[in-house]
Amino acid sequence: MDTIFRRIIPRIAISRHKTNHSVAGITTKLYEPHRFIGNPPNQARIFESNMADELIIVNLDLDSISIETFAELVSDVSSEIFMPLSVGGGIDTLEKASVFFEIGIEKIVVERGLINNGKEVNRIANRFGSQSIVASCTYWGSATTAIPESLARRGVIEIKDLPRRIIEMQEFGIGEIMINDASRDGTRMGSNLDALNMTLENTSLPVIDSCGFGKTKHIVESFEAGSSAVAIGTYFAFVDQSFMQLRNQLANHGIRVRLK
Amino acid sequence: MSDDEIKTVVGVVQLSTGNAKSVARGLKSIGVESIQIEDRKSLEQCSHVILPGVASFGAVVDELQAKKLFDPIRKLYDTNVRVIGLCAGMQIMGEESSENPDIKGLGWFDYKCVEIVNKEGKRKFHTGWNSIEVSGNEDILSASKDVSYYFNHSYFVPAVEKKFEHIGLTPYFGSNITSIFLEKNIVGIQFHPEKSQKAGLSILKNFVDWR
Repeated sequence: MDTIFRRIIPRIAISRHKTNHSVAGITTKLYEPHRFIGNPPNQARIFESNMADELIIVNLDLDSISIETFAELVSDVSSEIFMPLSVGGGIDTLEKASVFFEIGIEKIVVERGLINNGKEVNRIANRFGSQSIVASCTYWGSATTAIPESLARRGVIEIKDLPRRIIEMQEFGIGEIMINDASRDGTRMGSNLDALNMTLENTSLPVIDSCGFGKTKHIVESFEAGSSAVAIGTYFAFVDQSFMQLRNQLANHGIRVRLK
Repeated sequence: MSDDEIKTVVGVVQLSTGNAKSVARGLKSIGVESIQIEDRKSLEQCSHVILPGVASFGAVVDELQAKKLFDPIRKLYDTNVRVIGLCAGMQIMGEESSENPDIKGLGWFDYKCVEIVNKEGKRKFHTGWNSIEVSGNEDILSASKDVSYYFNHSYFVPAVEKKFEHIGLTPYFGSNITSIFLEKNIVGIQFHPEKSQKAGLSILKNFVDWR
């Protein structure tokens, strides 16, 4: 019997702070910056002490946080944690990826890079192994509202195009898939289980479900539907609940999570 | 000269594709200073050698060749230098891997790494925390079945019974993954102790203390 644990992955998004200009952690809502929540190395330290399973850091502010600045931050965060770290945001060449792997990160998260130049992502996979590439796919899952122009410009796709995208992404030697419903991002209404099912039907890779978690129940539902991991931002930023409590609740629901 | 008189010098082989830095950070957090192994000279100073790897099988072998470290490391088998290989660093201790079929490993053991596949023949990735089965009194650096370790790979060392003095296994999608083994002065670990928090760091500590 397989004994692998389901993973809970805090996701730290970063942006340049509007007033003090530091590189700050933010929450997002509908894929736009929402609120500043603090200093990423501090956040990482808390997640380490809570035994988070992995950590993802995403640079959402490519205009004002350069790859070099991002790499410095990732290096600072790395020295706080002894768990796998994945990083994303503007890492679209083998050269840029190499900078981050040399810091000691485990995986890079690619989205636009995969759309614009899948062959380059494939080069990264050949050097660092497919297990080091997480392909991220952001879609608009709402049936009642149309995809905002600004998100469509950033490469966010409509949910009907999700299966095709999932299949295409796998041509480039990726090792894991993360799906993000921009229309649920920061809403705490639960993740999009239809999209999760569509994704699982089109891949045998591990799938990280993301966007919309607001209650323990939502996370249980996602795992029961077949996700390997959940990536969580807003929920950890504002819900007054510790990581260990969440873990225990999931275990009580029969989800195999790491308790020690 | 007794063992006590041999000074412990821990070295981490520097691979650009690797996780050498996170291994060094992990060691530091448990109070162990390490040196960087960049060439033959630095390798020769070490009593304990760590061969890390976040990379493909071929990329690790190629870089060891380019740094002229491949042959000096190959000669460490059955010596008094302790060697531990992590992830790809463990896989290259065998003959070869279907990941890069043209490239030969260190050849210390006669295993061939293969892909994890499911019943439909599709490639599977073993990504996440998992436990290991270490039977009875087979102590390998105190690796324990009661805790979990972080794995991230899709190629693996197939478990063949009685091939190693000591072995720990992790079943996954019908594959019996060799997650840890010990043979003479060599330890191979498929998971990432440097990324496995307290449980993993204690394995590194036990490795350093292994005389």
